[in-house]
Amino acid sequence: MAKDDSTVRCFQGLLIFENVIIGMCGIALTAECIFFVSNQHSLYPLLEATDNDDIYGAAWIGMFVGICFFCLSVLGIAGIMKSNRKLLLVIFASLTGVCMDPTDTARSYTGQRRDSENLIIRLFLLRYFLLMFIVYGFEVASCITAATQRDFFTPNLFLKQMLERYQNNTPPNNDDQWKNNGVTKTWDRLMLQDNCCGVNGPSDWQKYTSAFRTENNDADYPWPRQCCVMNNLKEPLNLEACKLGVPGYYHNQGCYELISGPMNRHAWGVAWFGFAILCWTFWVLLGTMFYWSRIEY
Amino acid sequence: MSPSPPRRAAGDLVVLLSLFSLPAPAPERISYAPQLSSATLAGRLTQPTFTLEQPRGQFSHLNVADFDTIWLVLAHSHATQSFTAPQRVEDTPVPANLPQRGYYPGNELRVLRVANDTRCSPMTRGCHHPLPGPGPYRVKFLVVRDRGPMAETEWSSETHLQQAEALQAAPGPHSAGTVVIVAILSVLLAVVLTTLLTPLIYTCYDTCGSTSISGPGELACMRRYNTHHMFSPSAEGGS
Repeated sequence: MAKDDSTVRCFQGLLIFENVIIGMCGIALTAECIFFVSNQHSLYPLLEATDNDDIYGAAWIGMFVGICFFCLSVLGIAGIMKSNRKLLLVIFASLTGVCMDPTDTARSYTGQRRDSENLIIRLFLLRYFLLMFIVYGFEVASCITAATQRDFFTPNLFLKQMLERYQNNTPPNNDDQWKNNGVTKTWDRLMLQDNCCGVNGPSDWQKYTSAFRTENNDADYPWPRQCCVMNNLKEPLNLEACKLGVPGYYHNQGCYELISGPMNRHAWGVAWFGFAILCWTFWVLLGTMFYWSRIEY
Repeated sequence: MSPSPPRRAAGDLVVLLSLFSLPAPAPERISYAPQLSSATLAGRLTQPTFTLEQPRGQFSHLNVADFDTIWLVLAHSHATQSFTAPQRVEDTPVPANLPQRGYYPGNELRVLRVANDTRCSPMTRGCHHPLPGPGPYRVKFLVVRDRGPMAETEWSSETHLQQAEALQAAPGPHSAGTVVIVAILSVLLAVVLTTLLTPLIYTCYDTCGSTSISGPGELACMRRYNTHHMFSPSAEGGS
């Protein structure tokens, strides 16, 4: 190499450090996406029914991208480190597919060996760069998907779906029936477990027309029974008081915070952490390409 | 009918009076208008029902006996002018209801939920079916004895019931964060792609563009690349 050795070593050290960071971030991204996809809060049926479940697709992509980043960072470190020439040459040869003359390894360190070695390293780094670029592209897709999907998480989205699907027993086709069942079960579980009612409150059932209203008359069911405060036997404490809306006998807070809180945080994590990794990887790739271009052969 | 001439015996007077069917006197007007419940109830006004304060203490100055009934008359606002208190129980043109003395626990709430009875059909008398339309409605109370109504309150003010509307949900605009992410990532991806393609194209062009090797002597057309066979003859020669 024409450069001063210490500068080269410094540059190599910097690239190795950057690749270490990428490896660790890849592992962290994988862990975060696994946590998201494992559906801790069982809110997937709500998103699936709105046809807005691409956030899970973004999380799946993020999971595999994280693993790929880790593997590629290991490769990158191996490509830049020059501690064990023999091992390194074998690794480079296997990765680049270049056939090595066995007699080369027996020779002492000479100029021509350095040239072929440099060529192998160049090819290796090019392959590394190409693979990194592919993974980079996937992660860009995942980030953009997570960011745009997060914008869809508004109260009206869940309200519209709840009004259309909750306790809707006359759907046009089987797919809708399945979605309606999922939505109904999820809302029933949410309202019973988290002591909430509707998206903004029980008034949702009064202000807007809904499938629930066509199935149940208003005088008996101003809002679902799950909105009533229950006793130990899972029955309303006082049904008449609940129907009338006496404070203390029904839940008057909405469930929106409980739905959107976890979703927003996860989507924020996938989108912005992925964005941070990509910004960092961008400089690593530029540095690697600069290093590649300075290897003379 | 004209009253009979007064007689000395009061008892006879009473008997005589009872022989004639006198018209019932006009009901006494009580200056009280039924009001919507003031308690903070979420179900105070729903689509088919509404909730009134119970008229406690309003009829205490009348001698309301146990067998007297207090009726709630419910009518559309435009029909209140033509309403007359029916003289007999059988003549009720407007569905009436026996008030339910509901006692709701917690804070001694005494309210009256109107049009609560879902088992009641619109044709049945004596009960309130849930109201079909949003109103406006007015109510008044009637104290009725067997002879007919003896007292009535004022008409309440108009009550409009809840009306449900269809939800108009439009997707919102994208947030600033999304725009930042999309813009910056697009630029970064474009730069990385350019960084990848430029050396590739350069390398490919350079390899394809170089002249073919015509012989070992023509080294000027090749790139600077040392091969093994150039050195081994000298090594053999030098040994």
